[in-house]
Amino acid sequence: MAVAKSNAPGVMYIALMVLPWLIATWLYSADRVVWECHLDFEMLVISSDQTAERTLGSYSQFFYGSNLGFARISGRKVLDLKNDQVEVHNFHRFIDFKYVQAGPYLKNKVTKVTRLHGDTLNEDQELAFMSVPGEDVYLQVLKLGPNTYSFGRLGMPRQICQGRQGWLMPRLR
Amino acid sequence: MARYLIAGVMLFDDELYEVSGADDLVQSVVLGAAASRCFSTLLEAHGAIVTKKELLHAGWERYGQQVSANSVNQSIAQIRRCLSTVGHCDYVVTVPRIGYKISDALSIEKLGDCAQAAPGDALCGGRDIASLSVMPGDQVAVPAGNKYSRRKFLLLAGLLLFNTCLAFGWQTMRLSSPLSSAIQLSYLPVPVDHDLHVFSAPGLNTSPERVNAHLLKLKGKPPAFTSLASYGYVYMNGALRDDVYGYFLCREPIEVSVSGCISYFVVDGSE
Repeated sequence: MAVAKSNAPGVMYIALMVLPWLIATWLYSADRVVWECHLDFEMLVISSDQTAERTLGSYSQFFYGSNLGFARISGRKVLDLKNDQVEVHNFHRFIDFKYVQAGPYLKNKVTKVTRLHGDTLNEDQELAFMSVPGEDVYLQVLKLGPNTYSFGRLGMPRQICQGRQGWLMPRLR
Repeated sequence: MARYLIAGVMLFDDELYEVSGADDLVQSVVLGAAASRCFSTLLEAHGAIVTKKELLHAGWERYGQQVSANSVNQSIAQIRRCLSTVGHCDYVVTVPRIGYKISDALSIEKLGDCAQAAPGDALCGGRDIASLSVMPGDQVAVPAGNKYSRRKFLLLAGLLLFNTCLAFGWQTMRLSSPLSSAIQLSYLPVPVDHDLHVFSAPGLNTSPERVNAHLLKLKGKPPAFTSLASYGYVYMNGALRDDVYGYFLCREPIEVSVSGCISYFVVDGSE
């Protein structure tokens, strides 16, 4: 009994030393999303033969603290063909990717693309912001405001990201 | 930690738990830790009565020990034996049913903190630091042990705080972030005659012809799924090709906007 009493402060002291590490490990788990990027976009491509493609969509990217991430892109692509014909294709895909910091760039590599139900856009049709699985894509991350970032190339912004930082806000710039 | 000169002939060191004669002719005697703490408390009380409960707290309970009231009696007996060994008796007076006090006839001089004493100082701090002659009605002084335990507490709290900061800092450093390589980019305002607020990305060709071409393209080929009029802020972006026009269309300035911006591109291959 006396031994237990004399050990109590020591046990409490060890618990107080270990507790912050347990909480920090749980809070800052690599499985948590460290940043989200949400983007609404529209892209109009007019060809030399006066046909046009208009793509409307939403693109959301979720970055984990473990250099992994996933994205969801959904929307539709409207093709204005000759003779006033119009084709409409829907797209809805999940994309798994890896990312790593490469000097001043962010290197992204798509590992898997999953087409979801209702995706009618052919594989051979180009889709905005998509890259081929396995291909390294180098992006610049540009900070435009306190919560606004952009992915760009050659110093020029392309996608405006208005995202949330959540749990890990103190760490992110 | 302090030393006390008692009646000008006897030294008590509350760190070494030792009572000795001031002239080194009498061999020193070591008190136990608890008895020494009780003796310190009595000396610091300046002759005021110290209850048994206060002695119990000062000697044991403050250090997490639980003992019976009889331990106080034993310690007082030990102090008396010790004082008689160095030739002084009856300095600890029993106040029946209340507690104990140091005899009013006794003068006590506090010689200061041994840890802060100059090397070679025979009385460890000098006799002039504090004179605590016993006067009836003096207030009870704060025991020196309180200061020590406060310092220990602050040290412990500081260590725990440092450990917490280290834990959180370490864990956040382990995580990857896509924003760690972010580069600050500020748009430059472009004067135009329209109601729109127009800005261009740094490095973009902002000659009047090019700015006009951007604005004409935006008005001629506006976004289809939203009204251009609802976006008061236009941020122009460039590309390698001159036939590619990139815009961010926002409802409020991009620096303060948290939502409500869209990315719009026109690739005009017919040019």
